[in-house]
Amino acid sequence: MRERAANPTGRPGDHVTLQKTVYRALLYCYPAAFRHEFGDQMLAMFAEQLYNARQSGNFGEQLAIWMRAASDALTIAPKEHFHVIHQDLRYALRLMAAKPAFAAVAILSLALGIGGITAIFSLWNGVLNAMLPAVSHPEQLVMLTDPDAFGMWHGRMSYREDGPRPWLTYEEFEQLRDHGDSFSSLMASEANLDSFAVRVDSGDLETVDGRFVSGGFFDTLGVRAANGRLFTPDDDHVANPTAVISFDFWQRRFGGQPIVGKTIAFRKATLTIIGVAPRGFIGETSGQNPDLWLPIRMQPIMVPQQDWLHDTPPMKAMWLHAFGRLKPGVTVAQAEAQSNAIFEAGLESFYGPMSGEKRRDYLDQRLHLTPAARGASTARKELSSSLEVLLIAVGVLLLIACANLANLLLARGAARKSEIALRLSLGASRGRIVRQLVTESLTLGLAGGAAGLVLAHFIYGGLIWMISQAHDSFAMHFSLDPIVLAFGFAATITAVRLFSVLPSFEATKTGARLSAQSRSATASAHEKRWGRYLVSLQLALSLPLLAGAGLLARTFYNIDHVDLGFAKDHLIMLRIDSREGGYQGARRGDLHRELSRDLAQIPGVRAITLSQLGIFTGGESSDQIDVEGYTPKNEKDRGSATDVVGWNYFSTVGVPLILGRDILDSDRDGPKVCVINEAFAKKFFGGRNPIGMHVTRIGDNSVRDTFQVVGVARNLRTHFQEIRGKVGPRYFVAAAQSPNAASSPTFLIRTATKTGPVASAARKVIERLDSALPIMSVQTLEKRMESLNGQDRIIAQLAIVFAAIALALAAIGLYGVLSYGIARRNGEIGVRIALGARPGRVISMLLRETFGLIAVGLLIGAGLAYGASRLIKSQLYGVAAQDPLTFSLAGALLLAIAFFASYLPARRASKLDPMITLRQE
Amino acid sequence: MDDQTDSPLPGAVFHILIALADRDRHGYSIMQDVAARTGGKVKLSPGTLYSAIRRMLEQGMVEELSESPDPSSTDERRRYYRITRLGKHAATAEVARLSALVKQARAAGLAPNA
Repeated sequence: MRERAANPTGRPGDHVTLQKTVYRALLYCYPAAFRHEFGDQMLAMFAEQLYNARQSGNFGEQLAIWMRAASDALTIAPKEHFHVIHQDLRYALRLMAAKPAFAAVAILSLALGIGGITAIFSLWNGVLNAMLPAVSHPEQLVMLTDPDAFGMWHGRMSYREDGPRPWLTYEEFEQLRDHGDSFSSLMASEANLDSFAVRVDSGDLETVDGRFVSGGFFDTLGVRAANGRLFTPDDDHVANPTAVISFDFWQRRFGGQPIVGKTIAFRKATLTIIGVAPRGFIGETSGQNPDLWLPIRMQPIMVPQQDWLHDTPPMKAMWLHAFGRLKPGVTVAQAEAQSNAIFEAGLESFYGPMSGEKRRDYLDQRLHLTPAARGASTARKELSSSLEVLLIAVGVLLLIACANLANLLLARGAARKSEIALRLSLGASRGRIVRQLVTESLTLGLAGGAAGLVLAHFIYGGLIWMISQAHDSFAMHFSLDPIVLAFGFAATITAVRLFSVLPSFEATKTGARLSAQSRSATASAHEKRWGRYLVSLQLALSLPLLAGAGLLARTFYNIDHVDLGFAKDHLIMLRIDSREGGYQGARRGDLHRELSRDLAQIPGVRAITLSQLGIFTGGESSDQIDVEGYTPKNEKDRGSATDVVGWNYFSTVGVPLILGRDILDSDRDGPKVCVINEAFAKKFFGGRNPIGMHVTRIGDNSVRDTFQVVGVARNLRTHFQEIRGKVGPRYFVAAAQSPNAASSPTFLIRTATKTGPVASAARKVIERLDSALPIMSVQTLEKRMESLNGQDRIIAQLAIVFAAIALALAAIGLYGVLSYGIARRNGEIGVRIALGARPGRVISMLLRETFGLIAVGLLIGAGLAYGASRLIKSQLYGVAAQDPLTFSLAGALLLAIAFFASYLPARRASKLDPMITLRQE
Repeated sequence: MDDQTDSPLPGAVFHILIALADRDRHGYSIMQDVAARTGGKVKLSPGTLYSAIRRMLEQGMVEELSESPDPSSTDERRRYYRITRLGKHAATAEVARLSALVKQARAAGLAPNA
């Protein structure tokens, strides 16, 4: 606004100086350009109106003038701002249409970065923070068991060794439900999600996912039926053959048709559907999507031979999670204290007859209550740290994309210097032009952000698919909830600020004078320097991504190639449930023997054996033992893992025996034998020869079983914890000598040919022998390992993708900046070539100049990589966080790419025709 | 430039065109003329006036004069505006539109006869 030193109206006696000062301040509500154009006139007009009103003594009119001025600031000023934005927007869109390739590259790179970071954030937020959907007041819920524990345990636990109880038994739940008053409602749900083979409404066999829940399940979670009715607490007293299905399942399987009264036939019972859960309801476990819920009282009927509702001392079947809704005014601490009192009283009653140290151990159990608004989760613990690493990685990628865009805009700004200089000379303020340039960047940014949000949906779907390969039944819906939207928007605005502010200011620094020496715009030294800084930054940011990807890739490789102690190819694992099939005692032994013989007849089968725990099934078993000649330091020192295996287990699996022999079929009728692993021999026998020594298992009710050691096997890894960790002591007993122990064995089939046909044939053998015998799973070990290592593989793959994109962006950035810089020096290069400089010299001269910025980038990048590698230390296996080889390779790769990106424009420059170049100059 | 001569004109724009129809004026003069013609019912504030003038300049309905039309004027810093042919056309079209409306209102018995 053009300022005037004296009275602007020139009218004598104008005494409204203070009011003019206030009005001048109000004018700052208007856009700068408008103020510049009309501010003086507006101020003059206001002053005259006010003067005239004062002269006529009209106070009302003076007030009206002020009111109108204030109203203008609130209504007219925003309209003027909108007009400027609208103008800038139209100009920006015209520019984008004029250079569609540039706009496409900019929008796409932003979309990828913003889409990626939004998708990963949404997943991270969902896994970590999202409340249970469709549940009423989730903040009132508490969990009495461990939200991250899945599975079940038969036996006993102690607080000292195992921490707070991960699961409850049904009887313990009943005691808490019936005797406590901290909760308005308490429910129990099966910690595992089961898969059932069913016939729906007399149709074909299909697989559905479901879990057993108590009658108070839906009440506690505060949900109402979408159709029909849900379970009530009365369902805890009688085994009603009913089921509630999920809304998704209802829509997917039944198309939303009337459903109440339809039947679902399970193996051992037919249930009637009584209702549908509300839309979006998934139950108490985040990341799972059950199809149906079954009454807990039906468990012994549907899973015969395994009554988990009743326990016989000292064994407890711990298989339930428990959730309670706190009564108003009751704190979590109060509820925990009362729950523990009831729980401990229950333990006293259950373990009553025991005495001494054993009794103390059995009673040493405790509950820990935690807020349960987010529910339980199978994947939360495992995924959260991986997702955090990915979030940081994709954030770095977005930074690199912004640096690239900033460079592109810097170059474009340089090309528009004449336009900008003209506008400045015609009176446009620098602020006005910066505003326009920022609007152009904002348009690009918002277009990129909007495209990114759409892309986020697909990237999210891809991530969910990848995770579900590693975590069975993992499901999570993408939702653009306010937090995710806000995050996406914030990411977009941050990106725009990062890549637009610098180029906008640089572009307007030229001043009003046009360059007299060149028709084309020239970048200032300042701009060139900024361009080089940005490229160094991109290189620096790329190195941690490369090094991180290298470390994660090596981790995955190490895990995938960990020495299991045996070959993992050509091994089929076929698990049956003999107990559910009705086989007990000697009949079970006979079944296993007959099956082994029949399966061995299948063409392509080299050898066959069985194992109760299987390989990487997630199950585990351990015993208290006495070892001949070994004095344990304490109770914990008497434990060992164990397995029940068939004859020729070690030769079939392919584990060498260091001493002695394998378990044989002939052991069936002889004294009880066992084979121990190396770790067992080292711990319990030290330097002694274990062959012929005895291991005594101390079972329930102090029943003792003694086994003679007949062999020592190399350590083998058959449990997930043993992949990354050490192999502990384990002893293997013969299934033939303990038939009841192998209730649901896994048959291990070594094949000489492809596993596919053998697996199909194996199924047929079982069906022929007993069509009612449940086949729990048929899988190759390789497939199982793929799924176990799935998460490590996903993280490594994503890290490699990010690193590759970062490298590509850095290379493009470097290539662009160098090409531009070299193009500006065509004249000089032409002169050098004309004076006899050979192409080699020109290339080396240009490359030497880029050496500085590459070196700076690598140096800073090495520092960043060093710090970043500490973030992922816990994820690594078999490779140090600062592994010199990985760092060197990453640095070398970056150097190679940088060299290549620099060499191309240098080579092009060396081939210039000096005559053409000098004529142009 | 958009041809907006067939759309209803905003009130302030129409008043400004009328004020400029008989002679060139500066902003304060336009405000005074509008107030006088409407008996004080319409008082254009500086914001409303200059926002409308900005729009009219862009649309070509008025133009700014490079020097004062009144050689005897002492205030050289006032800026004068003149209606253009397009502005006259727009004003005329608005008059015709309003006249047609008044005619329809009269025919419906809503307005007193002229």
